[in-house]
Amino acid sequence: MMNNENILLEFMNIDKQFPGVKALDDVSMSFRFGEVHALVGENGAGKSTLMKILSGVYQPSGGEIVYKGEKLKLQNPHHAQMQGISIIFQEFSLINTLDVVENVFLNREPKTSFGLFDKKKAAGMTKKLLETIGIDIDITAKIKNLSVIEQQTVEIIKALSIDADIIIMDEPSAALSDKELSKLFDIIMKLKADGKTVIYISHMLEEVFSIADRVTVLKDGRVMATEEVCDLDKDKLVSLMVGREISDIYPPRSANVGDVVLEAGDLASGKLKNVNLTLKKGEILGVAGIAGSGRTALVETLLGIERKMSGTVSLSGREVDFKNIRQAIDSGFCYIPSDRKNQGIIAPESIVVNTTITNLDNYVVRGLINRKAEEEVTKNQIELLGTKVASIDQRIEDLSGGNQQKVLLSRALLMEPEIYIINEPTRGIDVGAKHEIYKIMRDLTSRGKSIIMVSSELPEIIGMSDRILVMNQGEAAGILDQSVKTYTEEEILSLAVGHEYRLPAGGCDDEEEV
Amino acid sequence: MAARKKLNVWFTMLERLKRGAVSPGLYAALLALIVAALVMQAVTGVSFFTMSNMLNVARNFSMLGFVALGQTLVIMSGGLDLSVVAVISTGNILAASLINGNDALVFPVLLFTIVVGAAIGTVNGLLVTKRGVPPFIATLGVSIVVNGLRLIATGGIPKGNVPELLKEMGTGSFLGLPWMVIIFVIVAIFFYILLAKSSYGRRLRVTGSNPEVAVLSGINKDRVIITAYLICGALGAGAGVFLAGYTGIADNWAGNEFDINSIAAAVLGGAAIGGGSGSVQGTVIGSIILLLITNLAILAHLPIQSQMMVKGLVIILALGFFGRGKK
Repeated sequence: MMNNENILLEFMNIDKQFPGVKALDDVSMSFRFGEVHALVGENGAGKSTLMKILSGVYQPSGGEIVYKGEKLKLQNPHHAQMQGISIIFQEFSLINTLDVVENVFLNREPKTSFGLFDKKKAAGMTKKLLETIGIDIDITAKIKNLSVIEQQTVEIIKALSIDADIIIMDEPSAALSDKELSKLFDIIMKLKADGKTVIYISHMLEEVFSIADRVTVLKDGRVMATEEVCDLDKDKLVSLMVGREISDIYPPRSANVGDVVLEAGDLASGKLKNVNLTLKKGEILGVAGIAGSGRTALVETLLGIERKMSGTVSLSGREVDFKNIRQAIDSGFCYIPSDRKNQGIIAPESIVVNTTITNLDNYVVRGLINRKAEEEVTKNQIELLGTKVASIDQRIEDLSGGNQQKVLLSRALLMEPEIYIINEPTRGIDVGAKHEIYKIMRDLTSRGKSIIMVSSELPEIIGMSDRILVMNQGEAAGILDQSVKTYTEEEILSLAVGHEYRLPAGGCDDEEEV
Repeated sequence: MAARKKLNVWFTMLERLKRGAVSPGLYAALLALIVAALVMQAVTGVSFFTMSNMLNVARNFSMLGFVALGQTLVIMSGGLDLSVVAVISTGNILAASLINGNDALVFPVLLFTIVVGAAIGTVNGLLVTKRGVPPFIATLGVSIVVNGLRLIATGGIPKGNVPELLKEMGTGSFLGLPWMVIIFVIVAIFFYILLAKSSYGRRLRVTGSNPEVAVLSGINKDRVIITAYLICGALGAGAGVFLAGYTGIADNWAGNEFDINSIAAAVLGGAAIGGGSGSVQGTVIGSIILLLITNLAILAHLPIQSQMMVKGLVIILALGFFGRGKK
């Protein structure tokens, strides 16, 4: 056992009861000084609830928190901050129109003797903090002009400026490119070296293995295990999270890839430079590349969302020129965008409305919607995909990410398209649901449908794609055929960034060095 | 046993009410208002529940109802129509000056006026969709232009006579029901079906809720929004014609206050500023509540200044407390 002096914070038998649900059940775990502690679990496992308790948003229904050897009752988020517990949410809490310094010291501005904002002093302090984590940002830049990683850095600086001992990062990698991710890891290593404790919440198990010292798995509000990362492998972690063995998260590729159904020649638009691609019947074409490399621009140009400036698109040899997405839909395309919340779901509407919106005309008789037909189709889809819902009249926003994605898949399936374009099919979705979505995709290809899958998750790209199109600065940097060999993340990344690339070293190696 | 069964029936009804388009609070507010009116009548002896007053409220309600229905569509689309005052007033002037006392011209001119209103609405819609002008600015701008044109055309002094047929429509009754109310009920039923049952209603709600998803789902977003403004313009112009029949005179500013009243009625009825929700039932009840309060203030012989205050407060309360902004 660890001796107590190493423990910074301890949860002791924490319960959290919501009306009708026990979100946390007898949760006990501890965090050491200067460790990176990953918290993993499927959606609804209780990670967010636990972190909301730690950041003072919720009060526990039972149990206690011991912090620096004393019992701690957090009254509100401000109180938690004052105690040195800082949380960085997925959606940053920065003011876009203010500059870096103003954001770091928002509401805690150092004052001159006249009582005015002492910007010089604040700037000096900001610079010093940036130095401690070894990052250089233009501190006079407005937040809106910064990249996502720079914004994240500002959040981290902000946490450091109030002398946080615990920094909680909720899905910090969600909006980061791989290059930026390694930068974030560098920062986390610096924080750790300074004795800060970092709680790292992520769906990306690769990240857990890269950065974390220990990992705690939550499932259904209970702690399944806390383990040293070095004592685990990925399969074991996944089975702890899901509660059953998943032999291979990626179902096997189908063998029967057919003729070319879609061909693009010298396709160019605002962000796209002369891209050539083919898509075959029954094939999954993965589109990889770092953020901003033109992955989304490519598919949106194919679909007519973005107007193509030159080049050709042909469907089974027939040239097409889509002026808007409706025309693409009518020609047998469907599109599931990456931003589920803003571009996918109609949040306040029911599952029925969300399922049938794109092919609504099929249920309309003389201008009126045949509600019964609509409900029947929705129920069939729910059964078909195993979507977990309370009722078909439930609002889609109340579903988990995985189930929302299944509803969006249903929406696509109902159009009976030949070509599915899916942008980030499993973003923010837990492992179990991911597996199911992969199975659905495989099932589609075995029925002769073709899929273009844009993804920033390389394991997903490698595990699912028959061929991989790697984008780099608007150009196709290469097409990798996986029927010959399975490519590695390094090989794909090297193409994506245009030079030799090596992934950051795993967390276990670092552990041994310390 | 029987009692429990009855209780269950009540529960199911309550459950339906909660899930329905109209919040139960709105029904409660309406009920409370009617009780308040009854008490007021009993205590102070104001003549609220009299035939003539009820008919008066009903006619006013119909007029507001036409405009508020149009406004509901526009609000659902994510916009706001401030040009209704100009459209109603213009409809009113057009009716009086073109018909000029000739009964035979009532229906052709009504139709023509509605087309003019629809055209103005279309301009609003085009500005909002194709040019990206914020609805508030677009409709306010259009309304100033329309007001100006009307004042130039009339030279500030409205001409023309309201024909008997139109007066009958505005003030007469059929089987005890005012013509206006009959016409309104027919229109309201049509719009109920449009919003609750038709594919246009669904697309309107989805477009207001999340325009981006609407576009990605292949919905012609601009057409959906323009249609909402077009309908609002048409309904406003129609209301202007009936208003001429009701008051019996042509008035350059007949539409005054219909903008804020129609918005308040729709929002009171559950239409969310920002788009995505709203219903005919809700707007109808919202209009009734608004008019009952106004009517009570008048009957209580509050001085005109106080009436204004009461009404202003009601509207602020409506928008501030019932107004469900988009999340």
